[in-house]
Amino acid sequence: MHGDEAKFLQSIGGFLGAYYLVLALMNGIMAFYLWHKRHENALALVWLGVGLLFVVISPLALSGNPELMHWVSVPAAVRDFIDNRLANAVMYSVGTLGGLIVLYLGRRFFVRPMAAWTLWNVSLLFMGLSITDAEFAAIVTKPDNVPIVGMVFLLGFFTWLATYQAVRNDERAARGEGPHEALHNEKVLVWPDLVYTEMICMVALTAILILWAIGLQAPLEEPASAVKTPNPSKAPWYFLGLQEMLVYFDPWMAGVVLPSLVIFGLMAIPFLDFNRQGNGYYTINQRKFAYLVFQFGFLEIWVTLIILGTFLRGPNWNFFGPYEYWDAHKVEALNNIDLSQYFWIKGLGRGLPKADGGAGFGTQLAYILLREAPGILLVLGYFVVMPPVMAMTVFRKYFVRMGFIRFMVMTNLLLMMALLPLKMVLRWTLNMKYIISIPEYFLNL
Amino acid sequence: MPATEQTWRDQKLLHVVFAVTGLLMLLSTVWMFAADHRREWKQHQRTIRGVEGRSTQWRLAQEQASANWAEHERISGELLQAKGEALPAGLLSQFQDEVQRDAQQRGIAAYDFTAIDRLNATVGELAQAAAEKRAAARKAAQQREEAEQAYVAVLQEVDAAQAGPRAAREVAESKQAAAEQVVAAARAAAQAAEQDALAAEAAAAAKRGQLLGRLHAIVRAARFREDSALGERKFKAADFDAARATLGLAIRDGRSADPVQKEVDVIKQQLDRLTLAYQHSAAHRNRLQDLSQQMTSREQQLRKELEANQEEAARLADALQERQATYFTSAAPFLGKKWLELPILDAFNSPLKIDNLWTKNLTIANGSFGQVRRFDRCTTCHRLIAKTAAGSAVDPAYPAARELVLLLQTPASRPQGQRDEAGRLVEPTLESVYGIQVAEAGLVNPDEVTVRHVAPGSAAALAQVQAEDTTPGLVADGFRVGDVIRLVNQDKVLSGDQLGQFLLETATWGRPLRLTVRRGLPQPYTAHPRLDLFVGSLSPHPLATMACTVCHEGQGSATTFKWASHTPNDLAQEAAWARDLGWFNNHHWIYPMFPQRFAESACLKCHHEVTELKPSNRFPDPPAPKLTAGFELVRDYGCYGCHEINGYAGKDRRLGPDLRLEPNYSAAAQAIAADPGFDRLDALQQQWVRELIQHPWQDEVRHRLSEFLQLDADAEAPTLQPATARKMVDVLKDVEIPGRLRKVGPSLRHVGVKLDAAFLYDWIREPGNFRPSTRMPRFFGLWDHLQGQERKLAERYEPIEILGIVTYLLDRSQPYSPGDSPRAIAPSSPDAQVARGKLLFETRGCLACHAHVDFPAASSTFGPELSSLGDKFRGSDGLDAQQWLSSWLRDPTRYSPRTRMPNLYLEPIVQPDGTATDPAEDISAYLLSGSRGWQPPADTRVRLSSEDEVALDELALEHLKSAFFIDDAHSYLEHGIPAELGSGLKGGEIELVGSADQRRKLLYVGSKTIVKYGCHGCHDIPGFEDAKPIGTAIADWGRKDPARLAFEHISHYVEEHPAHGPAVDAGDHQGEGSLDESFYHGRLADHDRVGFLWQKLKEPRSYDYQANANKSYNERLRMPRFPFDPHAREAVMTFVLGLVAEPPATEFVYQPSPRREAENVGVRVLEDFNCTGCHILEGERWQIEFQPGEIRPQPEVATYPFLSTHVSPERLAASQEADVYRGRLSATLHGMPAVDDTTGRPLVLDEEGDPIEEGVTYDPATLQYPLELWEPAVLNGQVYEVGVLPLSIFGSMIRQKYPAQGGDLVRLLYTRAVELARADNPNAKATEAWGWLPPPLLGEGNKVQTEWLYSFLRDPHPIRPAVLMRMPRFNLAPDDATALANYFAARSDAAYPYEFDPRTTAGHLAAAEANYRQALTQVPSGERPPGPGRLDHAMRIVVDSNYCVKCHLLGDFQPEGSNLAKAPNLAEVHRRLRPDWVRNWIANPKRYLPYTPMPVNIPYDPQAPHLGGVSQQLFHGTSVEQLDGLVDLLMNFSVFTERGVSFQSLVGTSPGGGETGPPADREESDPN
Repeated sequence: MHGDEAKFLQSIGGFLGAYYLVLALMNGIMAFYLWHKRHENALALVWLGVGLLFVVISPLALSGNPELMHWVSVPAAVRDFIDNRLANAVMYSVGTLGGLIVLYLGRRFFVRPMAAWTLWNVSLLFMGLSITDAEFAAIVTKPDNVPIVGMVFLLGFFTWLATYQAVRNDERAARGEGPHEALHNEKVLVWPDLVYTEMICMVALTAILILWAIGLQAPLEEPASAVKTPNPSKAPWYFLGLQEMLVYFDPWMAGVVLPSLVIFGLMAIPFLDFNRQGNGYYTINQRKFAYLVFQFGFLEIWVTLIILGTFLRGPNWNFFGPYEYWDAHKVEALNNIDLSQYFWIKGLGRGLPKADGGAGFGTQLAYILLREAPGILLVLGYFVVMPPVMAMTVFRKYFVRMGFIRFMVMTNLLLMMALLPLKMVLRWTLNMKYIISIPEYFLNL
Repeated sequence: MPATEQTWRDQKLLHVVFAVTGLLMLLSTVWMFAADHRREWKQHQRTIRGVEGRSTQWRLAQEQASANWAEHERISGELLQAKGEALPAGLLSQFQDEVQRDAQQRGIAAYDFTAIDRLNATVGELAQAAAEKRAAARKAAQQREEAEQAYVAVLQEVDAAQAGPRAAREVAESKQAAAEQVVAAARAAAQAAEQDALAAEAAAAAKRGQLLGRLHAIVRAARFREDSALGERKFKAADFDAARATLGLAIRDGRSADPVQKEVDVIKQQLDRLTLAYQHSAAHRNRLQDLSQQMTSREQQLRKELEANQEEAARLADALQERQATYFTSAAPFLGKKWLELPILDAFNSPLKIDNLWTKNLTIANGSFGQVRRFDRCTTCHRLIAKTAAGSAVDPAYPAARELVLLLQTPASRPQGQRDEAGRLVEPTLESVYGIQVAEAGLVNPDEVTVRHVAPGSAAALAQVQAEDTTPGLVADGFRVGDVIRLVNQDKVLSGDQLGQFLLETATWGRPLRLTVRRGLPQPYTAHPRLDLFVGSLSPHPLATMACTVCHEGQGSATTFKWASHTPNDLAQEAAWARDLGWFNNHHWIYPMFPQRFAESACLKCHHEVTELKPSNRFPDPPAPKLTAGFELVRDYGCYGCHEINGYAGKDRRLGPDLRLEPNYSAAAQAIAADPGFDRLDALQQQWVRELIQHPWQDEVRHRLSEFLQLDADAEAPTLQPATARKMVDVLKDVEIPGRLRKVGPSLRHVGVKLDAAFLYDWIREPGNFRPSTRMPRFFGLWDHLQGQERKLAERYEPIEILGIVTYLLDRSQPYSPGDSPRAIAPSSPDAQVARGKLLFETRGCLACHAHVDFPAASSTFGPELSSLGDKFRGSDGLDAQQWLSSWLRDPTRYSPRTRMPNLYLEPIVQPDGTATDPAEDISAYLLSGSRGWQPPADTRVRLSSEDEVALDELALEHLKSAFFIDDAHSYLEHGIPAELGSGLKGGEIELVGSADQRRKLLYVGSKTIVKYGCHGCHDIPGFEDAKPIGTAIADWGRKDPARLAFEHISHYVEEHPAHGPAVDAGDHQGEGSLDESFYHGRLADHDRVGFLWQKLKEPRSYDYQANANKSYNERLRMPRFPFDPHAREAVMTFVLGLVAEPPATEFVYQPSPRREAENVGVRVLEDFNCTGCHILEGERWQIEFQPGEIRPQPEVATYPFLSTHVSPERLAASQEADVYRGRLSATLHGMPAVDDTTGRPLVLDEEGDPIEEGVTYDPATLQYPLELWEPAVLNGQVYEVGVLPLSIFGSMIRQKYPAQGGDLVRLLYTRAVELARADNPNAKATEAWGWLPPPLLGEGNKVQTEWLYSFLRDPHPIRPAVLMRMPRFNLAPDDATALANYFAARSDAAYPYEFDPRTTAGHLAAAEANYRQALTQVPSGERPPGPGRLDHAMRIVVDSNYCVKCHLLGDFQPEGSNLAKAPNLAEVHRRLRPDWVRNWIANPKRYLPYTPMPVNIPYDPQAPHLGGVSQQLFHGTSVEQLDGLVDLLMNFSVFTERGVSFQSLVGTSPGGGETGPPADREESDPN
């Protein structure tokens, strides 16, 4: 990007100065709260210090001067490192998964308010330091993306809140107490407890929508044209996870089969769930399997993919680092091959089985099936062999409690879900394009 | 658990939260309304209302203050007087008689008129008194004026006395006191007298009103009687109808009809009586009414005049009413509309509204929605875009803001206070001193000091616009209402008071002040420029049908500045927009507005031929100068040779401009002629080939030849080489819509006979080296973007490539025979030859197209500059250079059949000493003597070094590798391509078949290089007859997706190599140019196609910067660099950006009438052959402004009635309308400056009318520029005819001069021709030199017959013996000649292509003859002219030595004297000229060609017997009849001469047919 750096910094300075002031104020309030309500003076001092730090940063950011802004930016070396080393699908997927695992394992630490507050500050500071980068700012401040940024923080907050309550309940359970929610089980009044709050919410929501409409106008883009699609062509944000799946699957799979199964699976949960614990209150320990499966499915292979699709996928659906210029000329080699080619060409050193040109439908079909036999066998094996194996090994207890049908449904759903990470790993490691590839009938897996 | 009163949440907290959210909601709602109220377009619309309201008010006041208003005062005064006049006695008595007659008829007592008579007498007395008082008032006013003047004189005395002795001062002061008293008394007296007069007039009017009231009462009574009579009659008529019906029923029922019939009869009688009574009363009333109206006729007339006078003011007042938005209407307490503009209310039904302009059938390609109708909202903010100034259909009411400097004359001394009527001293004001009133608030910005009124004729109204500020006719002198005064001298004006201080106190008295003024309004409050062309309802592009975005692009549906995709015109504007208006570059809208500098690009959408965008009679200011310049550059530099611009998509669909090469038929035929088998063809086939070489448009011949070639190629023993034949069959194929452009470069088919290797090498390497002005672009040595290895490669390979081309061209050059030079040429010394050649070069018209250092005044760039031809041909080893050049001059098409160089008919000239010289030889000797010392540079490579040989091998291998496998390529490079592969090869590989020695390799590389660089796009090169253009087709480049342009690393290049610009040309980095650079760099950084194109034209190869490392040598960019300066570059860009291939619906595409079409096509041919180099097509056009009476009326000249110019009364009236501010008239004159009779230079006279002298400085405003009118002009209500006397125009009157169209050569040679003529004949008149030079072609279409013109153009023959040079024969195709012939006819509005001449019909001649003979019988036989008939007598005029034959040739007759005095052959007239023109011409030649020496031979004099004319002895009849007889003779000349020749007697006497036709048909030899 050859834009005028100074001009950009000038334009962002005002916002950034205010942003840091808000952060300072936020920490000041926290310090005041700790000192006044909780009398934790040492902590209060720490956050006061952090607040003061933000006060110092604010005028630097406000100046819009490249020299000064340099000090409140992510160092170029770090940015380059992130762009060049970390910014690829493998690192991203593995990294997010690792992060989630760390958060899960360390949940007792992370649910502590001060730890959360620190994380909150760090993430906001990260935003602030990054936004001095024109490319980062261009993506984050795009009117389409601003609400998504907001939602990322909202999601983090609510995930933290739920985990916090779950951990607290688990601790109570460990101590033999009932869940925290049980302490407040009186009935409440429709008025004012329900209706009044609903009305307040309505009013607030309307006001926010109006302000949003005035302040952040809808971006006007070029007229839709079937012959000239925008680059990158992006689905609405909530479908970007699905769009990411298109990288690994045939459109038919990623666009139809898997989404349907997601819905089907969500509908099936009540019928599959036999665990009577955890009703009406938050818990992790009592429903570890359900919790992990859901969080993996939601956070890892849905939310992180949306974030990936929104912020890190640029022209030609290439992966771009957060500080990288979205250059439409960036080219990535896509040399993926099918399993059948692995088997026949690389493994057996012969060409793919192919029917003669004039062969009848049956012959052709037979040849196709022969060609794809390894993949078909593998997939069949995956879906047919795995469930009994699982029933006999790790899921023994489950099989016993659920019965054949429910168990088969659940395992198949799980296997389906696991297809995505499996396929991702296969792609990264073996450049696997399709396990079964029958383009003749638009059937690819 | 039981319910408790306990709530889950804290109620107080909830209330607080609720309060906060409620407040938030309120605030956001208020903010929403505020944001709505403050929407950009609403603010603009509110401003516009204010601007319109106030400026209309000011203009109304200005209008009322103007001369028009004085007229109004006069009329109202007269009206008042007319109202007080006594009724005419005669009419009154008629009235009385009528009343009495009626009374008598009705049988009542006579009406008593005494009171009325008395009243009328009183009115008469009062009127008399009023008239006397009025006279007294006038006298008093005069006295007051005198007293005032005296007082002023006294004041001056007082001033003078201030410095003098005290006594004198006292005397003066006492005088002043006395004078003051006198003035005061005179003023009081005048005022009193005026009031008296007014009172008396009012009294008379009142009395007369009474009187009229009485009369009207009588009329009303008559009317009443008439109405009642009519009523009675109506009732009776109804009774009559009923009675008749009853009668009918009775008859039907068979009852007795008689009683009923009786009743009917009675009623009928009564009805008749009533009808009569009604008719009488009606007639009576009509008469009375008539009479009373006649009595007040003068009053009514004046009322009408008053209304007409107030029309404009009334219109302005209405407009004001309409514009003003108020809180209360004039009929208060009703609410006005302004309430609806208040915040919040304006969100609902506001009068401020978004304008939607829906265009009919104009669509926009809107992505997946396909073509959708455009709708533009631009006028929401640009509301005043189509507003015209009051009283004009085309002048913008609110022009775009521009700064002017006005020179305001200050009084001689500091202005003193004036005394008012009461004698008090009043301080001087801006109004009293300068005539300016300043408004309290500006129109758009309240702080601006804005002029709200200019007193007519005041210093402010007469302030001059500083000369350098005047742009063509756009800026009027004097202050105007609405002008914003920004600076006085250099000081900023911040308020009206400050202006007063500058103008009334601190000015240097007597010296003009420089006031910097902003005239017009800023955007978006302006009207569109050129409302005559655009947007205006009378323009070709009215707003209602075209709207905005179809031309301007941009997002029409947007209502804010930034979303409308405005595009800044430069960086400063971009920065200002980004700062003030939130502008940003919206990549998402793919149709951003054209920046102002490319606004003309849009014209190409509909104006595909471009020529129609040139200045025309209707639009004399060029409508799209940049675009036409760009088009001409693209055409002249031959861009289409590589980049085809195909204007068609299939036969019936036109996309845009069509610039394509013509089919290569001529080249194909030449290639066949060079085939070894050509000589074996039979004579007919050879003839076909020769025919096609010279006349490629001969389709029939081409088809035959093509069929023959096909057969021959397939034959067992082919005559021609089969490969050639097959190739040429392809080339000779029909093309659906053939291109029409010739290759711009010269043919290289025979280049070997002309140039040597060294010259070619240097020329190809760097054409500017030999000829800096050449249009040939530079292909080699463009290395600025190359570094290191990449550059080394270019340095090594390029010489080899050039040498390859040279080798190929010389090797393939076809033989050429120069033709025979004329015999019997006496040898003469080289110096004499050069001297003769130089004169011939100058006078034979070469300078019309070519420049030469010996003639610095000639600057034509149509042909190459010829100063140093000697250098060019020095090393020529083919033919002798002299021989080649002479043969070229003699017949250019012999060497190059498609050249545009004409055949100049350079036939041998017989010198005074009797020897003959060959002008072609002389001119070539002269040209070859020219040298600038050019030498082939030292590094010119004619032989290869060993290093070069390696490079040659590498390069050849590089080419071979792209055609063959690598191993084969190596082997072929070593041993040549095996012969058996030969037949399958196409392209340059053929060169290597058989062997691969060094020459073969060079030929191979040369041939490949020619294809690579596309040399065949501009030059005819043997072997490339079938080659296609190598560049991208650019018919839709203006829409090319920037994503498909390879920007590569260009931003780095321009950022890191800012110094690369100057290497291109100096103009790039001067002034405006450097600003352009940065603008385009910005566009480049934005990956905009505009930036791409700029850089591509500037440094075409620079996109290879750092991109070559991974490219093979032949993949590098190939576009050459053209010698364009930044302006040319922008012009070319304007054209290319307009190539969008998106024609709108057919009805919008420019479809001229057949005549306009003929003109447009003709203009194209005119330009192709540079006709305007020699001929003037239109004289100069001057726009002048003058005071009435400043230009003397023309002397009355008696002339034939049919010659006087008819001008509509409206036009006459319009020419008398003075402007509101300064009372000046304006007019447009067409003509040429009158020339000095001895030198031939344009005359300039000083104030006294004496010629100006050198070395003396004159005030340009006082100089006179005599103008010879070439078209009649209308000045101040009078017609000024052509050919009477030159008009003396003062410099101060000239607002704008437009140059003549064409005729550069004439202007260049005019004085020279005079000089040459005066060398022979010192008395030669310079004014006649027009007749010795190529004639101006004004009204040519009315003059000559189209058919004659056509054949003349195809094969010109000499007409005027006096001319220095004769019309050359151009290499015109028949279509070109037709186009030109039609062009002239269409331009003159003459009949074409067929004309009918009733004069040549036998009936006409017979009837005229009979009449003539009849008339002759009245004449005594002795006085009759001898000879049998009318035409014989007419012939007597012709052959009378005083008249025609004194100068004109007639058949084989030549008058005596020098050629300069001789005139065209009269025997030719009937074939050449149109009869009406001949009649008018003979009647008064100067009216058509003001410079002609031909006199009026048949004078017209309405007083004289026979209306003047020539002697009755020659021809009997009036001058008109004589004229007719003469014209009939000339137009029937062949018939007339045939009558006298008995062919009967000739038959048999002349062996073998002999001479045919009468002598008149013979052409005389070249006069030169």
